[in-house]
Amino acid sequence: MTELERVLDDLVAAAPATRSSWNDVVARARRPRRRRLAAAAAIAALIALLVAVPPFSLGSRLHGLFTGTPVDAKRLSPLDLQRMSAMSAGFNPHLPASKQEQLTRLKAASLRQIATRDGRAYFVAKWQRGGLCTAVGDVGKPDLFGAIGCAADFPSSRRVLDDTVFHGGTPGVDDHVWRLEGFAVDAVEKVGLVTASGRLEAVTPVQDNVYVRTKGLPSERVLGIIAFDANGRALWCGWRMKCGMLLRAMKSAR
Amino acid sequence: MNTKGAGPGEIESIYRERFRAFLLSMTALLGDGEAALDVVQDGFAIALRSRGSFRREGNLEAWLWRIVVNTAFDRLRARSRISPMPERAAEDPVTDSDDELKESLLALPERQRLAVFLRYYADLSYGQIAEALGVSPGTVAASLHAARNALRQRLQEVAR
Repeated sequence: MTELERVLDDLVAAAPATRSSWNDVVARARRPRRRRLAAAAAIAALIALLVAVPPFSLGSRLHGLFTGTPVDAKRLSPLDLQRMSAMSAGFNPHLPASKQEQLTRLKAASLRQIATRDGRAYFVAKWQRGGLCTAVGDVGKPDLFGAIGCAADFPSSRRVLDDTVFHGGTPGVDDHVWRLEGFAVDAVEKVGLVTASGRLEAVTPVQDNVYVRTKGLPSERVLGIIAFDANGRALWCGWRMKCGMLLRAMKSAR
Repeated sequence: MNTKGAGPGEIESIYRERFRAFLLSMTALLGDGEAALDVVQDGFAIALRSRGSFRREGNLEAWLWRIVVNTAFDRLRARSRISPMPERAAEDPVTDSDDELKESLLALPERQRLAVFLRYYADLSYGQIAEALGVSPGTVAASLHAARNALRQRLQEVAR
C-alpha cells in the first residue's frame, strides 16, 4: 500500500458502518414534495398579493438595481453557470442541464454586476418567479458566486436582502457579526447593528444598492440589523428582533 | 424504448450496488461521515424525484454522481456561510509524513480533490468523473495530473 493510499483510507475512517437504506431514500423523496407544494402555494399567494395591492406592485425601485454591468457567461465557472441559470429559472440547481439550456436560462435572467467593494462583487439577476436573485462572491476566486439567493418580494416590497454572516456558535448567545453585508433598495441610506447594550454601531452607508463592512464591527453580541432612510427613519430590521424592539433597546440605552 | 427518464428500479439498483463508493467519496469530501450519509441519501432522493429529466444518451451512474456531488457542494457552501472562519480542531501538531500528505491532499482545490476521491474510492473512469463534475475528460486528466504533482512535490519536501 502506498503512502497516498494509506492517507486516503485514513480519510474515510469516519465513514459510518451504516448499511444502505433505500426506504429512507424513498421517504426523503416524498418529504420535500410536500414542502415544495407549500412553497408553491406561498409564492402563488404572494403573486396574488402583488397583483391585487397597488403599493406592492413591481415599481420603479426595480430599475435602480439593474443599472449594473451585464456579466458575460464566459466569466462564470461551470458551477456558477449551473447554479445561477437553474436558480434564476426556478429549477433545482442539483439537476444537470445541458450547456445550451444553461446559457439560454442565464440570458433570460439578465445577470448584472451592480457593485464591487472591499474585495467582494455583487450581482443581481431576474428571477423567473418575480423578484430578484442576488449573488455575492470574493473577487478573484475561480467561482464568482459564494452564495446565491432568490426572493420574490425583493425589491418590490422588501427593502433589504441581508446576507450578513455571523460567527458560528449558539444562536442567541454568540451572535457576533463577522461580515455585515447585503442588498438594499434606493430608499435605504444606511444600515447599522444594534448591540446587546442598545448601542447603534457599525453604521454603514448603502452605495449602489449594496452595503458591506468587515472592520469596526461590534465585539459585543448583536441583537439585530436596522436600515434607515435619509431622514433617519427605520425602514427595515433583521436578525432576531423587530424594529419596535430594536428601537426600544436603543432608546433605553440613551 | 424510452429516450428520456430513468426507472426507479435502475436508480435503486445503482444505489444498492454503489452505496459504499458514494458514502466513502462524500465522507472524504466533507470530512464528516454523518453529513456524508445525509448527502448521499438526499442526493438519491432528489434523483428519484427528478428521474424524468434524465436523458438516456448520458450515463445514469454519472448523472447520479453529479446530483450527489452537487448536493455535497451545497452542504459545503452552506457550512462556509455559517462559519466562514476555517474550523481547526485542537489536534496534535503535524508530526509525520502521513499527516503532511493528508494536509496537502485537503489543501488541493475542491475539484482536484474530488477528482482524486472519485478515482480512488469509486473507481470511476475519466469520462464518468468528467460527467459527474460537469467538465471535460481533458480537464479531469489535467486535474488529476496537477493533484499528483502537488502531492509528489510535498512528499519530496517531507523526505528532505
